[in-house]
Amino acid sequence: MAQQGQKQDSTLTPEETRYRDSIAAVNQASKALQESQESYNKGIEFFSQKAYKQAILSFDKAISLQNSFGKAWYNRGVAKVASTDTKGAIVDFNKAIELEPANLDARYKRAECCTSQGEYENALLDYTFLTAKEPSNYKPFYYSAEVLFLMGKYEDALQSVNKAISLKPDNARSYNDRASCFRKLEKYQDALNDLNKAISIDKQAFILNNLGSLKRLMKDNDGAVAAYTTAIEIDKSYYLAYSNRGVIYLEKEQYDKAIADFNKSIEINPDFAAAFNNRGIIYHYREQFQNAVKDFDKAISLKADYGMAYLNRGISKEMLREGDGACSDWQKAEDLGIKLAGKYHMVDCD
Amino acid sequence: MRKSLGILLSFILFSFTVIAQNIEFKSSNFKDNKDGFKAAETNLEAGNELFKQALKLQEEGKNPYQLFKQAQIPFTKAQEFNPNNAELNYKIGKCLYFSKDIKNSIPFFQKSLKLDEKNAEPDLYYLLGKALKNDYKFADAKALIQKYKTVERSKILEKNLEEINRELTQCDNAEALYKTPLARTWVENMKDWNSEYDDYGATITADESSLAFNSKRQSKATIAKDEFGQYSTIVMQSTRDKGKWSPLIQFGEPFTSPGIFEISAYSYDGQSMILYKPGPNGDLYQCDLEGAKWNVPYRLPDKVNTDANEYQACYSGDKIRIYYVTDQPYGNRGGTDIYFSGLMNPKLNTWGMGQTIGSELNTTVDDGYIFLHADDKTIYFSSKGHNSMGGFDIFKSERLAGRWSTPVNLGYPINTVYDETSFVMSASGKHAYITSDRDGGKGGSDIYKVTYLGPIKPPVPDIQDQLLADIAAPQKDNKLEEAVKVESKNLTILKGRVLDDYTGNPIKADIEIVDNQKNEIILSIKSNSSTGKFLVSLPAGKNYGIAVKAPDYLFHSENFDLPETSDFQLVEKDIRLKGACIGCKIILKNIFFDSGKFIIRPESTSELTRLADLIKDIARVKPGIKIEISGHTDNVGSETSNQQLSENRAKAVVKYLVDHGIAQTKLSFKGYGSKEAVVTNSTAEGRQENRRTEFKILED
Repeated sequence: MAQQGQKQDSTLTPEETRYRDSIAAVNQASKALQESQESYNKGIEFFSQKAYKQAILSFDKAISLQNSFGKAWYNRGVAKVASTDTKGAIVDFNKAIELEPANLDARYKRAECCTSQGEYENALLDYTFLTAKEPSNYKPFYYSAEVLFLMGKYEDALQSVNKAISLKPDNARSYNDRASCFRKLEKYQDALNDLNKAISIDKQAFILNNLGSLKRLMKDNDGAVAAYTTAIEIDKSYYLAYSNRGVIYLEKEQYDKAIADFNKSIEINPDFAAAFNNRGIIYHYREQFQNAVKDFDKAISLKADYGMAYLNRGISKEMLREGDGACSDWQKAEDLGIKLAGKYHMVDCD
Repeated sequence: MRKSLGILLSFILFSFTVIAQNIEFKSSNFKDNKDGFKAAETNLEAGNELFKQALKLQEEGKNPYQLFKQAQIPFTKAQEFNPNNAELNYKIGKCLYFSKDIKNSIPFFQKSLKLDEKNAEPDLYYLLGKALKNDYKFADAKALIQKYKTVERSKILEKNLEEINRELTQCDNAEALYKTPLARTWVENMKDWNSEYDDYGATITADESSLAFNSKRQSKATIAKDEFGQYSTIVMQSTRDKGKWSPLIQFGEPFTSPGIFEISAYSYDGQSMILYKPGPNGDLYQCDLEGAKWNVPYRLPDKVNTDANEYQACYSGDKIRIYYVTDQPYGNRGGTDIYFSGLMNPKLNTWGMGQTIGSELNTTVDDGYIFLHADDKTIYFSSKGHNSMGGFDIFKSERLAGRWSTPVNLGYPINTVYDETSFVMSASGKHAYITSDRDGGKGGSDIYKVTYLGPIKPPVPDIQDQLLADIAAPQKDNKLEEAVKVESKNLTILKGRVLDDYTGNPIKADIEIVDNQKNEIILSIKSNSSTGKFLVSLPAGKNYGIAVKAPDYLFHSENFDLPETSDFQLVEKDIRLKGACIGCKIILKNIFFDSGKFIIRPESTSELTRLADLIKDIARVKPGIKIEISGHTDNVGSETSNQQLSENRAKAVVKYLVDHGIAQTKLSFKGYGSKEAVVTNSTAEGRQENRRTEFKILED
């Protein structure tokens, strides 16, 4: 059987020639589709190896060869989430949803990205859509509650998390979050009940940490210490609980214990700014103002927008008679939303 | 009590140096150094003369500062020759004490007592006690003053008892206030402003934008020092912008000529000021700002300025009242007192008769250096009375229901055992300025800045919670869509012609293309009747069967692969049909068996169906037709087994045809083994070609 490539063929009629050419075009398109699919599959392979950059490049290629490849848009969005390019991920999820409106996963991911970007209204739109699509799934209600909480709409968040709990009553995380709503609404006893319920379902360190902080608010400092201690027992590397327990010791003027906890917190996580801030306060109370300033400096170097550390550094600088430095720090802290610093600046600075 | 006082005194006096013996200035004591003694004696006499003159001035109520200072020079030279003379140590101590070098007098007094306590002058105890008080050794100070009370002559004691007791009280005051320093209040020497001379009496505008103070530093216009070693008073000024004071400059008019006026107080708005003109009966003047210039000062009327001294004053907030310090006798409780006067007619500059501010503030000793805060109800003043720590202290009083409250000592470190005067405060209450001659200054009295930090600012700890579980322990997974099956749709053009095998003429034939893997007919077309041409597109990478049939022809079938390539390809296939004649045969290329077996595989169905249809068609035209189905193998294996296999395969095909409606009588089967090879068996392709099933017409 004779074979030949595409070339002039005098035995073909014009119609046959056109037919042949159209087939050639189809073949070309088919080849692009094939390459697109191969790149897409390669991207999935890279992703599974946590090689997110290569994964994104592969999905890039898949999309460039087949712009209507909805799955590739979605997967690239997920890869971008994994490589912390949340804004880029939102763009990809937008396209994935445009191409495949029924892709609920894309909606979940887009809402998640919007939440992390502070685009709460957009996140809520997606979750509202999802609650309508999946009315018996607790997840969209749970995530809606999370967004509403972040928006400071605690009453609305409460309603949403109530729905999530009614759909899935054994989810400790929902009770934890509802407790946080109650806490913000200063319904401490309700919050306490929910945290205890959450702990009875799933005794996780962060829930115990939240319990400690709630008990501190309820003036039960011994209870707070006990809760933080349990959190530490559950997770020995839970630097947050060390720092928080240190604050209770600080408030009880048990400075040695407090500083030991802050040191431990820093040892576990040398990038945890709050522990430096809190240890600086101990130095301040011990009138070691230079050391205090050093710790506040460190806290600020770790977290440039750490208003509270600016406030505190200003307070220590004032004791070092560095009036200009104190005022500059309070101004910065005020700019970062610390109202108390604004008051100090107004009263004590020119 | 006496016993414990004695023990304490022994400790105070002898804990500093080892015990030594008093050595008189006698030639017999210095036989080995007669020249040195002579010189020392000369210095001693010179010092004694100055010392005597100083004491005389002191008795006359005049200031002996300069003479005591001068006496120190020869005394010190004599001391270098004989440091162990009790009397000389006492005198040097006294010179230092009265020339305001109080702290340095202490070791000389102590040494004098150590060398000859028995013959010690009584006032040595008193002066040493007061000096120790200035060194914040209050218990020691009190013990020595108490001792003084036991050794001083009664006449002198009686005359000075009030003052002596006040010293004792001040020791108690100082001890109590020193133990409880003010929280969050800083006092700092304004080093950039102060000189080695007296700097004093700072005044500020209420908004703390302007400041001026008096200074006895040297200036271009000052020539000689006075008896205190100071130059004539000039006024220095500074302005404040964005919290920073500008460098000091000398105030111009009305203070251009040194020593004529001293600044006493700015009005709160800085548009007026009160001046003090020193003199035997110093007076107060007022001066107003006209544009950028201060006009000529004018003396406040006699209702304020009396024959006595009016020293210092301040305005009320509305400038219709002044508070001032005077030693005028009328209504005076003792020393200088605070008075006030109201403005009766601004145009005529008439003021009401000055009156004492009252016994709540004024004491029997010096009171003065007054400052009325911008709130117009809080007064700050200095006093040697009340519960002073020593010398002038600054006090605060508030006017409540028309009366001044009991003055409160501002406390340490604003006040010390030294003199603190001239308190002025900004309207904000954050800063104040005072004058003090305390230890550690640049010399003489200095300006100090007081900073009130206000209430304690507690640092704020940071409790960090993870209120949302999803933030504390995220559970959102990054799940991807699944991989897709890669689809290859590469089409190959299949082009050909259907021709009569014998004549080569084109035939219009039915062509069926079968996907052998799926066993599906995927295409049915007809070849062109005039050209016999056909042209189709097929996905590459598959095996196909092609069956061609036309009336009066045996059908033709074969299978072929279209290879997978990335490029476009065109495959040409011409098919030649044979007529349905006796002896004509068809190789049935699309009938498949498993290797070595004779069970027909499912993908053979299309071919077999076509074969059955063909036989039926021919049988309709030629009812007596006989057909042989033959099986053929390659030459692999024994001929016997090949024969058997080929026969069984032919038989299986016949059975299929019978089962699908062909009469048994029309069919026969035969196995040929490898005997009728169509091509060589030496290649795999050849062997493949030879393994076949054939259809042959035996009779028609």
